[in-house]
Amino acid sequence: MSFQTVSLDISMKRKHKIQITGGVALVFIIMLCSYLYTNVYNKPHTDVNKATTTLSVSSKNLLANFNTNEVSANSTYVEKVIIVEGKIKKITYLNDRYTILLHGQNELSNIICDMSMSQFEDIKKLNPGQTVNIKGICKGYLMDVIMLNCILVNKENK
Amino acid sequence: MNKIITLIFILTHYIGFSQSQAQEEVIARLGQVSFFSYTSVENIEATNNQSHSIIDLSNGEIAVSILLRAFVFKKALMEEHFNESYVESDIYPKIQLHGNILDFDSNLQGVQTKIVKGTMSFHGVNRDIEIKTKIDNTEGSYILSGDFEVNIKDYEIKVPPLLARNIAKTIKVTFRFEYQSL
Repeated sequence: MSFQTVSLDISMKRKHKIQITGGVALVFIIMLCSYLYTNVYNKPHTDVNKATTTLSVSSKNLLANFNTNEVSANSTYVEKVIIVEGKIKKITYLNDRYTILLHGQNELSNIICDMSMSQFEDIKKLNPGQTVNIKGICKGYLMDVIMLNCILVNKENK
Repeated sequence: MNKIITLIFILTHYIGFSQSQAQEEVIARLGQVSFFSYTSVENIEATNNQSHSIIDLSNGEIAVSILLRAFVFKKALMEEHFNESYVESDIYPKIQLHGNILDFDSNLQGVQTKIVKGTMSFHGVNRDIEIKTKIDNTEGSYILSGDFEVNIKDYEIKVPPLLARNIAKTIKVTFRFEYQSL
C-alpha cells in the first residue's frame, strides 16, 4: 500500500516535471517565433532618421562620381544612407508623393529625392533655387541619381 | 553590352538632339512601374516611381530605363530577397527597353492605342517584346500607360523550390509615364 503511494507520487512528480519542461519549451518556441516574425519576416525598412552616416557629398560631386565610374560609385553609395547638398531645381507632387529634384552637373542629370511622408509640411515651405541638405538611401544611377526615403536635414545636426 | 546600349542611348538621344531637335523629344523621369505576383500563399507587389523614359516624337522611338533597387516593397525582407536572390541587382542593376511605337502619330490629340515593339534587357537576358500601350496626348503632353505580363522563366529568374508556391510564374506589370519636353 505504502509502496504504491510512493510510486504514484514519483510518477506524479515526473509528469509534473515533463509538464514544466514542456511549458518552458513552448514559451521558448513562441518567443523565438515572435522574434523571427518581427525581426526577420517583418523586419522594418531602414530608418533614415535614426541612421548615422559619414557619407556626405554635394549633388554635383555625386553625379560626377557616377558619371566617371558607375561601378565604383555603385559600391560606394548604393544602399547606403547618404547626405546630399544641392540646389533645388524642381519640386513635384505626383502619385501622392513629393519629389525634390536637385541640380546636377548639367540640365539632363539631376538627383531625384523621393521624400518621406513625414516631410510633406516642411517641403511646402521650400522653393526652387534654395540650397538644402537631404538625407536618404541612394539606390543608383540611370541618368539621374535616385534616392529614396529622403528627409531634410540641417547641416549642423547631420 | 549594357554599357554599349547606354552609350548609344546617351549619344543618340542627348548629344545629337540637344542642338537640333530638342523639341522633338519628351522625357519622363518619374514614371510609375508596379508589378504583382498573386498566388494562393502570398501576394507580393512592388512599385517604382522613378522610371525613366524618352520618346523621339519625330519617329516614335522609345527608350525606358528602370532601376531595380528603386522598387519599393511592403516588407523589407521581400525587397532584400528580390534584389539579392531573384533579379540580382548587384550584377544587373537596370531593366532597359528600346524600341518603337508602331504607327505612332504624335500630332493626334486624345487617346490612341499602339504597340510598342522592341527589345527588353532584364537580368542579363535580351528579349523581343510587344506591349500594348495607351497613349494620351493633351496638347503635346503625353501619358503612356498600360499593362503586360512577364514570364519569370523567360528572364532566367530562379526561384528556390521551397518558395515556388509563393511566387507567381507570370508577373503582372503596370506602367504609367508622364512626359514633358526636355
